[in-house]
Amino acid sequence: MSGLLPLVGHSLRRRRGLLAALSLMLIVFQIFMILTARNYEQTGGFRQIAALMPQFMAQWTNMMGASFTGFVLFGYSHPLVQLFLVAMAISISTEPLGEIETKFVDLMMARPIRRTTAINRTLIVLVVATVIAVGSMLVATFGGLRLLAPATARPPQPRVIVSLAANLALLVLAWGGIALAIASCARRRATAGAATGFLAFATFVLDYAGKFWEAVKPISRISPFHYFDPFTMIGGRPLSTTDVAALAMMFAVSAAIAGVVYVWRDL
Amino acid sequence: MKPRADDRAGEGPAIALRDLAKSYGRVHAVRGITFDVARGEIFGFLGLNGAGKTTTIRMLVDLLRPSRGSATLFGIDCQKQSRQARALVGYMPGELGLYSDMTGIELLDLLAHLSGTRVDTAYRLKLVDTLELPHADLRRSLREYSTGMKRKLGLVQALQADPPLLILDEPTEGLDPLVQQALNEILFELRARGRTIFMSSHVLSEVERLCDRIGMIRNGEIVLLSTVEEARRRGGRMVRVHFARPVERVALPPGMTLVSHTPERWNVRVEREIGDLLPLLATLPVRDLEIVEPALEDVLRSFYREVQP
Repeated sequence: MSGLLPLVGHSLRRRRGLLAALSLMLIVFQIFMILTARNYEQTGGFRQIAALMPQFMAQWTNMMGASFTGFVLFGYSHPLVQLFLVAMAISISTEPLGEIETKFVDLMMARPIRRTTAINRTLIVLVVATVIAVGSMLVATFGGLRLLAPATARPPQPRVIVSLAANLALLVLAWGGIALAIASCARRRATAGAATGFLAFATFVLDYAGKFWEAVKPISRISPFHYFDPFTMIGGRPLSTTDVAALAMMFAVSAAIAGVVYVWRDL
Repeated sequence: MKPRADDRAGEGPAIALRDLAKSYGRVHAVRGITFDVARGEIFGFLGLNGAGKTTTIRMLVDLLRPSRGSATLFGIDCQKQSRQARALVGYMPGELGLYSDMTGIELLDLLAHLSGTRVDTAYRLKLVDTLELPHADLRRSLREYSTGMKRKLGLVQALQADPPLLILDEPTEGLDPLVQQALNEILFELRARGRTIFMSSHVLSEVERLCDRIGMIRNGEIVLLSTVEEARRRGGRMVRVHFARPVERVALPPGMTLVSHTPERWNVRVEREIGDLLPLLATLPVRDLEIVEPALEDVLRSFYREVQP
Protein backbone atom coordinates (compact mmCIF):
# COMPACT_ATOMS: atom_id res chain seq x y z
CA MET A 1 0.00 0.00 0.00
CA SER A 2 3.11 2.20 0.11
CA GLY A 3 2.50 5.51 -1.59
CA LEU A 4 -1.24 4.97 -2.11
CA LEU A 5 -2.55 7.41 0.48
CA PRO A 6 -0.25 10.32 -0.50
CA LEU A 7 -1.23 9.82 -4.14
CA VAL A 8 -4.95 9.68 -3.34
CA GLY A 9 -4.63 12.83 -1.23
CA HIS A 10 -2.66 14.57 -3.96
CA SER A 11 -5.15 13.65 -6.64
CA LEU A 12 -8.19 14.67 -4.58
CA ARG A 13 -6.54 17.96 -3.61
CA ARG A 14 -5.94 18.75 -7.26
CA ARG A 15 -9.57 18.00 -8.12
CA ARG A 16 -11.28 19.62 -5.19
CA GLY A 17 -12.30 22.71 -7.19
CA LEU A 18 -13.73 20.72 -10.07
CA LEU A 19 -15.49 18.34 -7.72
CA ALA A 20 -16.97 21.18 -5.68
CA ALA A 21 -18.19 22.95 -8.84
CA LEU A 22 -19.76 19.77 -10.23
CA SER A 23 -21.44 18.92 -6.93
CA LEU A 24 -22.79 22.45 -6.62
CA MET A 25 -24.14 22.30 -10.15
CA LEU A 26 -25.84 18.96 -9.47
CA ILE A 27 -27.35 20.31 -6.24
CA VAL A 28 -28.67 23.38 -8.04
CA PHE A 29 -30.09 21.17 -10.79
CA GLN A 30 -31.93 18.93 -8.31
CA ILE A 31 -33.35 21.96 -6.48
CA PHE A 32 -34.38 23.45 -9.83
CA MET A 33 -36.22 20.23 -10.74
CA ILE A 34 -38.07 20.26 -7.39
CA LEU A 35 -38.99 23.93 -7.74
CA THR A 36 -40.26 23.37 -11.30
CA ALA A 37 -42.22 20.29 -10.22
CA ARG A 38 -43.74 22.29 -7.35
CA ASN A 39 -44.77 24.98 -9.80
CA TYR A 40 -46.44 22.43 -12.13
CA GLU A 41 -48.09 20.74 -9.18
CA GLN A 42 -49.53 24.02 -7.93
CA THR A 43 -50.68 25.25 -11.36
CA GLY A 44 -52.01 21.94 -12.70
CA GLY A 45 -49.25 21.76 -15.29
CA PHE A 46 -48.82 17.99 -14.95
CA ARG A 47 -52.35 17.40 -16.28
CA GLN A 48 -51.48 19.40 -19.41
CA ILE A 49 -48.22 17.51 -19.86
CA ALA A 50 -50.03 14.18 -19.50
CA ALA A 51 -52.57 15.22 -22.11
CA LEU A 52 -49.88 16.29 -24.58
CA MET A 53 -47.52 13.34 -24.09
CA PRO A 54 -47.49 10.86 -27.03
CA GLN A 55 -48.55 7.30 -26.22
CA PHE A 56 -45.11 5.69 -26.84
CA MET A 57 -43.42 8.27 -24.67
CA ALA A 58 -45.90 7.79 -21.88
CA GLN A 59 -45.32 4.01 -21.97
CA TRP A 60 -41.55 4.30 -22.10
CA THR A 61 -41.23 6.86 -19.33
CA ASN A 62 -44.03 5.55 -17.11
CA MET A 63 -45.55 9.03 -17.40
CA MET A 64 -42.42 10.23 -15.69
CA GLY A 65 -42.71 13.84 -16.75
CA ALA A 66 -46.37 14.03 -15.85
CA SER A 67 -46.19 13.62 -12.07
CA PHE A 68 -44.44 15.37 -9.21
CA THR A 69 -42.52 12.21 -8.35
CA GLY A 70 -41.47 11.48 -11.92
CA PHE A 71 -40.41 15.03 -12.60
CA VAL A 72 -38.27 15.25 -9.46
CA LEU A 73 -36.59 11.94 -10.23
CA PHE A 74 -35.98 13.00 -13.83
CA GLY A 75 -32.99 14.79 -12.26
CA TYR A 76 -31.31 11.37 -11.95
CA SER A 77 -31.80 10.29 -15.53
CA HIS A 78 -31.48 13.59 -17.38
CA PRO A 79 -28.94 13.21 -20.21
CA LEU A 80 -27.10 16.34 -19.02
CA VAL A 81 -26.61 14.86 -15.55
CA GLN A 82 -25.33 11.63 -17.07
CA LEU A 83 -23.10 13.61 -19.43
CA PHE A 84 -21.47 15.61 -16.63
CA LEU A 85 -20.97 12.58 -14.42
CA VAL A 86 -19.49 10.48 -17.23
CA ALA A 87 -17.24 13.41 -18.19
CA MET A 88 -16.04 13.58 -14.58
CA ALA A 89 -15.31 9.85 -14.64
CA ILE A 90 -13.35 10.19 -17.89
CA SER A 91 -11.37 13.12 -16.51
CA ILE A 92 -10.41 11.19 -13.37
CA SER A 93 -9.70 7.91 -15.11
CA THR A 94 -7.37 9.37 -17.71
CA GLU A 95 -5.17 10.84 -14.96
CA PRO A 96 -2.52 8.06 -15.16
CA LEU A 97 -2.18 8.72 -18.88
CA GLY A 98 -2.01 12.45 -18.22
CA GLU A 99 0.89 11.79 -15.84
CA ILE A 100 2.69 9.88 -18.56
CA GLU A 101 2.10 12.63 -21.08
CA THR A 102 3.22 15.45 -18.79
CA LYS A 103 6.19 13.34 -17.56
CA PHE A 104 5.09 13.66 -13.94
CA VAL A 105 5.25 9.88 -14.02
CA ASP A 106 9.06 10.15 -14.15
CA LEU A 107 9.08 11.76 -10.72
CA MET A 108 6.37 9.51 -9.32
CA MET A 109 7.25 6.07 -10.66
CA ALA A 110 11.01 6.45 -10.17
CA ARG A 111 10.10 6.01 -6.50
CA PRO A 112 9.70 2.54 -4.98
CA ILE A 113 5.97 2.27 -5.56
CA ARG A 114 4.13 -0.41 -7.50
CA ARG A 115 2.66 0.51 -10.84
CA THR A 116 -0.67 -0.87 -9.67
CA THR A 117 -0.61 1.80 -6.97
CA ALA A 118 -1.19 4.46 -9.63
CA ILE A 119 -4.20 2.53 -10.94
CA ASN A 120 -5.57 1.80 -7.45
CA ARG A 121 -5.18 5.48 -6.62
CA THR A 122 -7.31 6.40 -9.62
CA LEU A 123 -9.96 3.83 -8.76
CA ILE A 124 -10.20 5.14 -5.20
CA VAL A 125 -10.42 8.75 -6.40
CA LEU A 126 -13.08 7.72 -8.91
CA VAL A 127 -15.18 6.03 -6.20
CA VAL A 128 -14.76 8.96 -3.79
CA ALA A 129 -15.64 11.53 -6.47
CA THR A 130 -18.68 9.52 -7.59
CA VAL A 131 -19.90 9.17 -4.02
CA ILE A 132 -19.46 12.90 -3.43
CA ALA A 133 -21.20 13.90 -6.68
CA VAL A 134 -24.12 11.47 -6.41
CA GLY A 135 -24.27 12.01 -2.64
CA SER A 136 -24.69 15.75 -3.29
CA MET A 137 -27.64 14.96 -5.55
CA LEU A 138 -29.20 12.82 -2.81
CA VAL A 139 -28.72 15.52 -0.19
CA ALA A 140 -30.24 18.11 -2.53
CA THR A 141 -33.21 15.87 -3.34
CA PHE A 142 -34.01 14.94 0.25
CA GLY A 143 -33.39 18.48 1.51
CA GLY A 144 -35.34 20.05 -1.35
CA LEU A 145 -38.30 17.72 -0.89
CA ARG A 146 -38.40 18.44 2.83
CA LEU A 147 -38.31 22.20 2.35
CA LEU A 148 -39.99 22.80 -1.00
CA ALA A 149 -42.44 19.99 -1.76
CA PRO A 150 -46.07 21.20 -1.77
CA ALA A 151 -48.42 19.54 0.69
CA THR A 152 -50.63 18.22 -2.13
CA ALA A 153 -47.77 16.43 -3.91
CA ARG A 154 -46.91 12.78 -3.34
CA PRO A 155 -43.11 12.79 -2.92
CA PRO A 156 -41.02 9.93 -4.30
CA GLN A 157 -40.24 7.10 -1.93
CA PRO A 158 -36.76 7.31 -0.36
CA ARG A 159 -36.07 3.73 -1.46
CA VAL A 160 -36.63 4.69 -5.09
CA ILE A 161 -34.43 7.79 -4.81
CA VAL A 162 -31.58 5.82 -3.23
CA SER A 163 -31.92 3.00 -5.77
CA LEU A 164 -31.75 5.45 -8.65
CA ALA A 165 -28.72 7.16 -7.15
CA ALA A 166 -26.97 3.82 -6.57
CA ASN A 167 -27.67 2.67 -10.14
CA LEU A 168 -26.45 6.02 -11.51
CA ALA A 169 -23.29 5.80 -9.40
CA LEU A 170 -22.60 2.31 -10.73
CA LEU A 171 -23.07 3.56 -14.28
CA VAL A 172 -20.53 6.33 -13.63
CA LEU A 173 -18.08 3.85 -12.13
CA ALA A 174 -18.49 1.53 -15.12
CA TRP A 175 -17.63 4.40 -17.47
CA GLY A 176 -14.70 5.32 -15.24
CA GLY A 177 -13.39 1.78 -15.52
CA ILE A 178 -13.82 1.77 -19.30
CA ALA A 179 -12.04 5.14 -19.58
CA LEU A 180 -9.20 3.81 -17.41
CA ALA A 181 -8.81 0.73 -19.62
CA ILE A 182 -8.77 2.83 -22.79
CA ALA A 183 -6.34 5.31 -21.23
CA SER A 184 -3.99 2.51 -20.20
CA CYS A 185 -3.69 1.45 -23.82
CA ALA A 186 -3.40 4.96 -25.29
CA ARG A 187 -0.51 7.37 -25.69
CA ARG A 188 -2.38 10.67 -25.48
CA ARG A 189 -4.88 11.72 -22.83
CA ALA A 190 -6.94 13.72 -25.32
CA THR A 191 -7.20 10.68 -27.60
CA ALA A 192 -8.30 8.43 -24.74
CA GLY A 193 -10.80 11.01 -23.49
CA ALA A 194 -12.25 11.59 -26.93
CA ALA A 195 -12.45 7.86 -27.69
CA THR A 196 -14.27 7.18 -24.42
CA GLY A 197 -16.55 10.16 -24.95
CA PHE A 198 -17.43 8.98 -28.43
CA LEU A 199 -18.02 5.44 -27.16
CA ALA A 200 -20.30 6.80 -24.42
CA PHE A 201 -22.30 8.80 -26.97
CA ALA A 202 -22.53 5.86 -29.39
CA THR A 203 -23.65 3.42 -26.70
CA PHE A 204 -26.14 5.97 -25.34
CA VAL A 205 -27.70 6.21 -28.80
CA LEU A 206 -27.54 2.44 -29.19
CA ASP A 207 -29.40 1.92 -25.92
CA TYR A 208 -31.97 4.51 -26.90
CA ALA A 209 -32.47 2.87 -30.29
CA GLY A 210 -32.77 -0.54 -28.61
CA LYS A 211 -35.82 0.64 -26.69
CA PHE A 212 -37.78 1.35 -29.85
CA TRP A 213 -36.22 -0.90 -32.49
CA GLU A 214 -36.46 -4.64 -31.93
CA ALA A 215 -33.59 -5.43 -34.33
CA VAL A 216 -31.17 -3.35 -32.26
CA LYS A 217 -32.40 -4.55 -28.88
CA PRO A 218 -30.02 -7.56 -28.54
CA ILE A 219 -26.98 -5.45 -29.46
CA SER A 220 -27.98 -2.69 -27.06
CA ARG A 221 -27.09 -5.03 -24.21
CA ILE A 222 -23.44 -4.17 -24.73
CA SER A 223 -24.19 -0.58 -23.76
CA PRO A 224 -23.59 0.29 -20.09
CA PHE A 225 -26.62 2.59 -20.34
CA HIS A 226 -28.76 -0.50 -20.95
CA TYR A 227 -28.25 -1.34 -17.27
CA PHE A 228 -29.57 1.98 -16.02
CA ASP A 229 -33.31 2.10 -16.60
CA PRO A 230 -34.65 4.88 -14.37
CA PHE A 231 -38.14 4.89 -15.86
CA THR A 232 -39.01 1.36 -14.75
CA MET A 233 -37.50 2.05 -11.34
CA ILE A 234 -39.69 5.12 -10.96
CA GLY A 235 -42.58 2.92 -11.95
CA GLY A 236 -41.89 0.75 -8.92
CA ARG A 237 -39.37 -1.87 -10.03
CA PRO A 238 -36.67 -2.37 -7.38
CA LEU A 239 -33.00 -2.02 -8.21
CA SER A 240 -32.22 -4.91 -10.53
CA THR A 241 -29.50 -7.25 -9.39
CA THR A 242 -28.79 -8.00 -13.07
CA ASP A 243 -28.16 -4.31 -13.74
CA VAL A 244 -25.99 -3.99 -10.62
CA ALA A 245 -24.02 -7.11 -11.50
CA ALA A 246 -23.55 -6.05 -15.14
CA LEU A 247 -22.27 -2.58 -14.25
CA ALA A 248 -20.10 -3.90 -11.41
CA MET A 249 -18.67 -6.50 -13.80
CA MET A 250 -17.89 -3.84 -16.42
CA PHE A 251 -16.13 -1.76 -13.77
CA ALA A 252 -14.15 -4.69 -12.40
CA VAL A 253 -13.13 -6.17 -15.76
CA SER A 254 -12.09 -2.84 -17.27
CA ALA A 255 -10.18 -1.88 -14.10
CA ALA A 256 -8.38 -5.24 -14.21
CA ILE A 257 -7.49 -4.75 -17.88
CA ALA A 258 -6.21 -1.26 -17.05
CA GLY A 259 -4.06 -2.64 -14.24
CA VAL A 260 -2.51 -5.38 -16.39
CA VAL A 261 -1.78 -3.06 -19.32
CA TYR A 262 -0.34 -0.31 -17.10
CA VAL A 263 1.97 -2.76 -15.36
CA TRP A 264 3.43 -3.96 -18.67
CA ARG A 265 3.54 -0.82 -20.77
CA ASP A 266 6.32 1.72 -21.21
CA LEU A 267 5.65 4.85 -19.22
CA MET B 1 11.93 3.91 11.45
CA LYS B 2 12.44 2.44 8.00
CA PRO B 3 16.00 1.46 7.06
CA ARG B 4 17.95 3.94 4.98
CA ALA B 5 18.24 3.07 1.33
CA ASP B 6 21.98 2.41 1.41
CA ASP B 7 21.50 -0.24 4.12
CA ARG B 8 19.49 -2.19 1.56
CA ALA B 9 22.01 -1.96 -1.27
CA GLY B 10 23.13 -5.41 -2.33
CA GLU B 11 26.39 -6.63 -3.83
CA GLY B 12 27.87 -5.77 -7.20
CA PRO B 13 28.61 -2.56 -9.01
CA ALA B 14 26.31 0.40 -8.58
CA ILE B 15 25.07 -0.06 -12.14
CA ALA B 16 25.59 -3.05 -14.41
CA LEU B 17 24.14 -3.09 -17.91
CA ARG B 18 24.31 -6.31 -19.90
CA ASP B 19 23.34 -6.26 -23.57
CA LEU B 20 20.62 -3.77 -22.74
CA ALA B 21 18.54 -2.87 -25.78
CA LYS B 22 15.37 -0.98 -26.53
CA SER B 23 13.58 -0.95 -29.85
CA TYR B 24 10.42 0.76 -31.00
CA GLY B 25 9.40 -1.31 -34.00
CA ARG B 26 12.21 -0.89 -36.50
CA VAL B 27 13.79 1.97 -34.57
CA HIS B 28 16.64 0.76 -32.34
CA ALA B 29 17.04 3.41 -29.64
CA VAL B 30 19.58 1.41 -27.62
CA ARG B 31 21.46 -1.48 -29.26
CA GLY B 32 22.68 -3.90 -26.65
CA ILE B 33 24.98 -1.86 -24.42
CA THR B 34 27.16 -3.37 -21.72
CA PHE B 35 29.10 -1.53 -19.04
CA ASP B 36 29.44 -1.12 -15.28
CA VAL B 37 29.49 1.91 -13.04
CA ALA B 38 31.53 1.33 -9.91
CA ARG B 39 30.31 2.31 -6.47
CA GLY B 40 31.38 5.73 -5.36
CA GLU B 41 32.28 7.15 -8.76
CA ILE B 42 30.87 9.97 -10.83
CA PHE B 43 30.11 8.57 -14.24
CA GLY B 44 29.37 10.85 -17.17
CA PHE B 45 27.06 9.45 -19.80
CA LEU B 46 27.60 11.39 -22.99
CA GLY B 47 25.98 11.55 -26.35
CA LEU B 48 24.28 13.80 -28.80
CA ASN B 49 20.54 14.39 -28.67
CA GLY B 50 18.72 11.20 -29.64
CA ALA B 51 21.76 9.01 -29.05
CA GLY B 52 19.94 6.88 -26.44
CA LYS B 53 20.98 8.49 -23.14
CA THR B 54 17.52 9.17 -21.76
CA THR B 55 16.15 5.85 -23.03
CA THR B 56 18.93 4.04 -21.13
CA ILE B 57 18.29 6.07 -18.00
CA ARG B 58 14.54 5.48 -18.14
CA MET B 59 15.18 1.73 -18.38
CA LEU B 60 17.30 1.96 -15.21
CA VAL B 61 14.35 3.33 -13.26
CA ASP B 62 11.94 0.89 -14.92
CA LEU B 63 9.91 3.51 -16.74
CA LEU B 64 10.77 1.73 -19.99
CA ARG B 65 10.95 -2.01 -20.39
CA PRO B 66 14.03 -3.29 -22.27
CA SER B 67 13.58 -5.23 -25.50
CA ARG B 68 16.46 -7.46 -24.37
CA GLY B 69 19.26 -7.61 -21.86
CA SER B 70 19.28 -6.59 -18.24
CA ALA B 71 20.20 -3.80 -15.89
CA THR B 72 21.01 -4.12 -12.21
CA LEU B 73 21.55 -1.54 -9.49
CA PHE B 74 23.79 -2.81 -6.68
CA GLY B 75 23.05 -6.32 -7.93
CA ILE B 76 19.28 -5.81 -7.87
CA ASP B 77 17.51 -6.35 -11.16
CA CYS B 78 15.85 -3.13 -12.38
CA GLN B 79 12.88 -4.97 -13.85
CA LYS B 80 12.42 -8.13 -11.81
CA GLN B 81 13.00 -6.41 -8.45
CA SER B 82 12.06 -3.00 -9.66
CA ARG B 83 10.81 -1.53 -6.38
CA GLN B 84 13.86 -2.62 -4.43
CA ALA B 85 16.10 -1.18 -7.13
CA ARG B 86 14.22 2.11 -7.31
CA ALA B 87 14.43 2.46 -3.52
CA LEU B 88 18.16 3.01 -3.99
CA VAL B 89 17.85 5.76 -6.57
CA GLY B 90 17.40 9.50 -6.58
CA TYR B 91 16.37 10.42 -10.10
CA MET B 92 16.22 13.75 -11.80
CA PRO B 93 14.60 13.51 -15.23
CA GLY B 94 15.78 15.65 -18.09
CA GLU B 95 12.28 16.93 -18.63
CA LEU B 96 10.52 17.85 -15.41
CA GLY B 97 6.78 17.28 -15.52
CA LEU B 98 5.42 19.42 -12.70
CA TYR B 99 1.86 20.30 -11.78
CA SER B 100 1.71 24.05 -11.87
CA ASP B 101 -0.97 24.21 -9.17
CA MET B 102 1.32 22.64 -6.57
CA THR B 103 3.78 24.57 -4.44
CA GLY B 104 7.44 23.61 -4.28
CA ILE B 105 7.15 22.28 -0.76
CA GLU B 106 4.03 20.25 -1.62
CA LEU B 107 5.93 18.58 -4.44
CA LEU B 108 8.94 17.83 -2.24
CA ASP B 109 6.70 16.45 0.52
CA LEU B 110 4.71 14.28 -1.88
CA LEU B 111 7.84 12.81 -3.46
CA ALA B 112 9.43 12.34 -0.05
CA HIS B 113 6.40 10.28 1.02
CA LEU B 114 6.71 8.19 -2.12
CA SER B 115 10.44 7.60 -1.55
CA GLY B 116 9.75 5.11 1.20
CA THR B 117 12.65 6.37 3.30
CA ARG B 118 12.80 9.07 5.93
CA VAL B 119 13.79 12.43 4.51
CA ASP B 120 15.94 14.51 6.82
CA THR B 121 14.36 17.97 6.75
CA ALA B 122 17.60 19.62 7.82
CA TYR B 123 19.44 18.00 4.90
CA ARG B 124 16.71 19.08 2.51
CA LEU B 125 16.95 22.67 3.75
CA LYS B 126 20.73 22.55 3.38
CA LEU B 127 20.29 21.50 -0.25
CA VAL B 128 17.74 24.25 -0.80
CA ASP B 129 20.17 26.80 0.63
CA THR B 130 23.17 25.51 -1.31
CA LEU B 131 21.24 25.63 -4.56
CA GLU B 132 20.07 29.15 -3.72
CA LEU B 133 16.39 28.38 -3.77
CA PRO B 134 14.81 30.91 -1.37
CA HIS B 135 12.68 29.28 1.34
CA ALA B 136 9.80 31.66 0.58
CA ASP B 137 9.74 30.41 -3.00
CA LEU B 138 9.00 26.89 -1.80
CA ARG B 139 5.58 28.17 -0.70
CA ARG B 140 4.86 29.62 -4.12
CA SER B 141 2.92 27.88 -6.83
CA LEU B 142 5.09 26.14 -9.42
CA ARG B 143 3.47 28.16 -12.19
CA GLU B 144 5.44 31.13 -10.84
CA TYR B 145 8.76 29.27 -11.02
CA SER B 146 11.35 30.09 -13.65
CA THR B 147 13.05 27.28 -15.58
CA GLY B 148 16.11 27.55 -13.35
CA MET B 149 14.03 27.35 -10.18
CA LYS B 150 12.24 24.26 -11.47
CA ARG B 151 15.60 22.63 -12.21
CA LYS B 152 16.80 23.43 -8.70
CA LEU B 153 13.62 21.89 -7.27
CA GLY B 154 14.21 18.87 -9.48
CA LEU B 155 17.67 18.48 -7.99
CA VAL B 156 16.41 18.82 -4.41
CA GLN B 157 13.75 16.15 -4.94
CA ALA B 158 16.38 13.77 -6.34
CA LEU B 159 18.87 14.41 -3.55
CA GLN B 160 16.61 14.89 -0.52
CA ALA B 161 16.42 11.21 0.49
CA ASP B 162 20.25 10.95 0.28
CA PRO B 163 20.11 7.75 -1.81
CA PRO B 164 23.19 5.63 -2.56
CA LEU B 165 22.77 6.18 -6.31
CA LEU B 166 21.88 9.39 -8.10
CA ILE B 167 20.75 9.27 -11.70
CA LEU B 168 20.73 12.77 -13.10
CA ASP B 169 19.65 13.49 -16.66
CA GLU B 170 21.26 16.76 -17.79
CA PRO B 171 21.47 18.10 -14.22
CA THR B 172 23.03 21.50 -15.00
CA GLU B 173 20.70 22.37 -17.87
CA GLY B 174 19.14 25.76 -17.16
CA LEU B 175 21.30 26.54 -14.12
CA ASP B 176 23.40 29.68 -13.86
CA PRO B 177 27.19 29.26 -13.44
CA LEU B 178 27.14 29.95 -9.70
CA VAL B 179 24.51 27.31 -9.04
CA GLN B 180 26.35 24.92 -11.36
CA GLN B 181 29.41 25.41 -9.17
CA ALA B 182 27.31 24.80 -6.05
CA LEU B 183 25.94 21.61 -7.59
CA ASN B 184 29.46 20.45 -8.42
CA GLU B 185 30.42 20.89 -4.78
CA ILE B 186 27.37 18.92 -3.65
CA LEU B 187 28.26 16.09 -6.05
CA PHE B 188 31.89 16.00 -4.89
CA GLU B 189 30.72 15.88 -1.29
CA LEU B 190 28.34 13.03 -2.12
CA ARG B 191 31.11 11.09 -3.83
CA ALA B 192 33.31 11.61 -0.79
CA ARG B 193 30.53 9.99 1.26
CA GLY B 194 30.50 6.98 -1.06
CA ARG B 195 27.47 7.88 -3.13
CA THR B 196 27.47 6.95 -6.82
CA ILE B 197 26.47 9.51 -9.41
CA PHE B 198 25.42 8.61 -12.93
CA MET B 199 24.82 11.76 -14.95
CA SER B 200 24.08 12.37 -18.55
CA SER B 201 25.32 15.51 -20.17
CA HIS B 202 26.44 17.02 -23.40
CA VAL B 203 28.32 19.84 -21.68
CA LEU B 204 31.82 18.48 -22.12
CA SER B 205 33.59 20.96 -19.84
CA GLU B 206 31.24 19.95 -17.03
CA VAL B 207 31.98 16.26 -17.59
CA GLU B 208 35.70 16.96 -17.59
CA ARG B 209 35.44 18.83 -14.31
CA LEU B 210 33.17 16.38 -12.52
CA CYS B 211 33.49 12.85 -13.77
CA ASP B 212 35.86 10.02 -12.91
CA ARG B 213 34.79 7.96 -15.89
CA ILE B 214 32.81 8.53 -19.01
CA GLY B 215 30.79 6.48 -21.44
CA MET B 216 29.75 7.79 -24.79
CA ILE B 217 26.69 6.50 -26.60
CA ARG B 218 26.23 7.05 -30.30
CA ASN B 219 23.29 5.72 -32.29
CA GLY B 220 22.39 3.50 -29.34
CA GLU B 221 25.87 1.94 -29.05
CA ILE B 222 28.66 2.57 -26.58
CA VAL B 223 31.59 3.95 -28.54
CA LEU B 224 33.82 5.07 -25.69
CA LEU B 225 34.21 3.84 -22.15
CA SER B 226 37.18 5.07 -20.19
CA THR B 227 38.46 7.26 -17.42
CA VAL B 228 38.58 10.95 -18.18
CA GLU B 229 42.40 10.72 -18.15
CA GLU B 230 42.47 7.89 -20.68
CA ALA B 231 40.06 9.69 -22.93
CA ARG B 232 42.14 12.82 -22.77
CA ARG B 233 45.29 10.84 -23.63
CA ARG B 234 43.63 9.48 -26.73
CA GLY B 235 43.78 12.93 -28.19
CA GLY B 236 47.57 13.06 -27.93
CA ARG B 237 49.51 16.04 -26.65
CA MET B 238 50.17 19.03 -28.82
CA VAL B 239 53.77 20.27 -29.00
CA ARG B 240 54.29 23.79 -30.30
CA VAL B 241 57.82 24.35 -31.51
CA HIS B 242 59.01 27.93 -32.05
CA PHE B 243 62.14 28.33 -34.19
CA ALA B 244 64.80 31.04 -33.99
CA ARG B 245 64.89 31.17 -37.79
CA PRO B 246 62.77 29.66 -40.59
CA VAL B 247 63.12 25.91 -41.11
CA GLU B 248 62.06 23.55 -43.87
CA ARG B 249 59.50 20.85 -43.18
CA VAL B 250 61.09 17.47 -42.36
CA ALA B 251 59.77 13.94 -41.80
CA LEU B 252 58.60 13.28 -38.22
CA PRO B 253 59.11 10.06 -36.24
CA PRO B 254 56.20 7.55 -36.17
CA GLY B 255 53.26 8.48 -33.91
CA MET B 256 53.72 12.18 -34.57
CA THR B 257 51.69 14.34 -36.91
CA LEU B 258 52.43 17.83 -38.12
CA VAL B 259 49.02 19.39 -37.63
CA SER B 260 49.96 22.85 -38.90
CA HIS B 261 53.16 24.65 -39.64
CA THR B 262 54.82 27.87 -40.70
CA PRO B 263 58.60 28.31 -41.24
CA GLU B 264 58.81 29.74 -37.70
CA ARG B 265 56.38 27.46 -35.88
CA TRP B 266 55.20 23.82 -35.96
CA ASN B 267 52.21 22.29 -34.20
CA VAL B 268 52.94 18.61 -33.70
CA ARG B 269 50.47 16.09 -32.27
CA VAL B 270 52.38 13.52 -30.23
CA GLU B 271 50.55 10.29 -29.54
CA ARG B 272 53.61 8.55 -28.05
CA GLU B 273 56.48 9.62 -25.79
CA ILE B 274 57.70 13.17 -26.38
CA GLY B 275 61.26 11.88 -25.99
CA ASP B 276 61.02 10.42 -29.51
CA LEU B 277 60.74 13.97 -30.84
CA LEU B 278 63.73 15.40 -28.99
CA PRO B 279 66.57 13.97 -31.21
CA LEU B 280 64.98 15.62 -34.23
CA LEU B 281 64.49 18.94 -32.44
CA ALA B 282 68.14 18.90 -31.32
CA THR B 283 69.13 19.27 -34.99
CA LEU B 284 66.88 22.32 -35.47
CA PRO B 285 67.18 25.95 -34.26
CA VAL B 286 64.52 25.64 -31.54
CA ARG B 287 63.82 28.87 -29.65
CA ASP B 288 60.97 27.63 -27.43
CA LEU B 289 58.86 24.53 -26.75
CA GLU B 290 55.26 24.51 -25.55
CA ILE B 291 53.52 21.28 -24.53
CA VAL B 292 49.74 21.59 -24.51
CA GLU B 293 47.73 18.93 -22.70
CA PRO B 294 44.77 17.85 -24.85
CA ALA B 295 41.33 19.02 -23.81
CA LEU B 296 38.78 16.29 -23.28
CA GLU B 297 36.35 18.33 -25.32
CA ASP B 298 38.53 17.98 -28.41
CA VAL B 299 38.73 14.21 -28.01
CA LEU B 300 35.03 13.80 -27.44
CA ARG B 301 34.16 16.07 -30.31
CA SER B 302 36.07 13.74 -32.57
CA PHE B 303 33.81 10.91 -31.38
CA TYR B 304 30.77 13.07 -31.98
CA ARG B 305 31.99 13.98 -35.44
CA GLU B 306 32.32 10.36 -36.51
CA VAL B 307 28.57 10.16 -36.37
CA GLN B 308 28.11 12.90 -38.90
CA PRO B 309 27.53 11.69 -42.47
